[in-house]
Amino acid sequence: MDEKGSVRKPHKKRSMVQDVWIRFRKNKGAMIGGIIILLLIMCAILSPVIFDYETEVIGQDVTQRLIKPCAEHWFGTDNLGRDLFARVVYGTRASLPVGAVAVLVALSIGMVFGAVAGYFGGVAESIIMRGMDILGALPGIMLAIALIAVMGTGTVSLMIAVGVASVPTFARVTRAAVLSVRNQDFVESARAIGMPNREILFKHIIPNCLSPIIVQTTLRIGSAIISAAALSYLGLGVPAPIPEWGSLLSEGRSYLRDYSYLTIFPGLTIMITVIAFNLLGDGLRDAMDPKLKQ
Amino acid sequence: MYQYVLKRLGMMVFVIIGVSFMIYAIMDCAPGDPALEILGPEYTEEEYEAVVEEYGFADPMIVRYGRYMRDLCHGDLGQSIKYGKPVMELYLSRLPATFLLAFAAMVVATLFSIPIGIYAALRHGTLRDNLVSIVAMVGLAAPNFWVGLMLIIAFSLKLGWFASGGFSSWKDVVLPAVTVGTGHMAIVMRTTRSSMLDVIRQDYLMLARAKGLGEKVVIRKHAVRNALIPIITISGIQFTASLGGAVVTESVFSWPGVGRMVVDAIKSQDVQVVTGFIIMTAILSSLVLLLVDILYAFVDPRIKAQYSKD
Repeated sequence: MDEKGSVRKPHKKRSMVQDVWIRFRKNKGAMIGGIIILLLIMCAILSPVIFDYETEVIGQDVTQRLIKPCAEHWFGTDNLGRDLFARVVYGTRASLPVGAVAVLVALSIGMVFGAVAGYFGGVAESIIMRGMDILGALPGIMLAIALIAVMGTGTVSLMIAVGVASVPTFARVTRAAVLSVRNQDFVESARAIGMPNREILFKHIIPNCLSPIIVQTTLRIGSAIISAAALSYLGLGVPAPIPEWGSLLSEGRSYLRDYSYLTIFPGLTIMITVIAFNLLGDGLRDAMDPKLKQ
Repeated sequence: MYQYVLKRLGMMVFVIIGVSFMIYAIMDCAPGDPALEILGPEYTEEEYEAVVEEYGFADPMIVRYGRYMRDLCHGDLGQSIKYGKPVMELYLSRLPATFLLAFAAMVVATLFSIPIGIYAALRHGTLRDNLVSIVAMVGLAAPNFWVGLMLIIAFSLKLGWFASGGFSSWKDVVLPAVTVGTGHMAIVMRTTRSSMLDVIRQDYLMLARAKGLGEKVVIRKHAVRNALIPIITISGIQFTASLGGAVVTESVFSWPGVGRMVVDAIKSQDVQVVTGFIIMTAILSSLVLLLVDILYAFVDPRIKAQYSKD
């Protein structure tokens, strides 16, 4: 994680971003992951254009109920005659933002705490890191359930509940990265010219700690999507009739015996999405920190 | 050695107080008036005042928390509104099923993932090693409860080997255990593989071979034993995680455990049950983690040495 400077030195003509991109491009898995994520984002943006929400996504049609997957309905239709493919594709509009926002919430809180703990050390570090121990001592899903019990169900509380559980991870990663940068020469010189602590922290230290944080963000989005789906499955997430991948699974639960496709397809979608984020995260880590690669 | 145990014990008490306070504070904001739940639908103003006075609902949160923890030390977590029973009694009635599931899941995970992880590390870089990595990746990415649903489709509805839920015979533990175990398996497998890869490169393995020991002995006695410490740690963490984290799997299989009752309690706004169950889960997890820490302090001579010096 440390001595990133030595990685950059030999290529003076290329920027660090270019360098990372060149290494990243060679990694097939990471490229596949990246492409899948781009496709999913396209789905999220374009689904209102492709499908009409009122008629195709939430509109019920009893004559069309429980049709098995066929050319017209790729993923079949559910018990209310709604096309499952349309609902899964539209589900990206709920599941992706929930995962991403949850992680961003965790990132922004965790990063500040971790940076302060790592940079100042001493009492502040002890207090913050013990606080993170406490927050991390409980299984994430239990904490999320308690938060939802208080905030009520809904998209925003789902985002917060899922995000809070990731705060300790980001605090720990940031603290470790800051510790490795804190005593380097450029920080010393910034301090010597009288730069205030806050500026040193945000202008010099955090930018040099970004790569482990970016990697962790990508990896965490995957698990945030799973947690959000789990909470929605329990009925503690996005309210019906909004199609969310977890709630699609719980709708399909009653039809496991004869219409198992109702649970197979949304689950596969979640799995592929999470694999894509994990591949991307692993690829970014290898590209940003070539030394870490085994 | 006892210094280490004492230090960890102190940390544990601190974390337990912190977690329980956090949960108490969060649940304190939950909607609903506890006094009304005790009184029922019909009451007079005086009766209401009396109940608030008697139970101290008007006291500051920190005072009520202190009282809650004092009662907890006496084994009292309050009354469940929905079931009309002490919360502690409900918790203890649910704990064995959750414990059994967590334990069975760990057995399933260890049984498969450690040998596979070792195998992959010994064939590092080959097609089979890559295959193992891919399986681990898929295992990590598949939502646990969805794996459970797929297992129900295959082994319960299509093949009819197991029941799809509930807990009436030992057979019923198989599917939930495999479900929870799948997630653990991926993680334990990865840890085993990378820990073995670390150990394999060490000089003492070369020495063992140079002494003329057979390859099997080298791997079994020198490599695997040294690779075990991170594996024990991660298994312990996974075990504690499933003590409270198997909430969704318990719901999928209608498993009569702690997690499912928490979900039910949330839906019926049974605040006492939610608070009590989550705090007890946190205490139990901390205890198990402490045990794991102490356990490998005994296994790892390095930790022992660190504390015997001073």
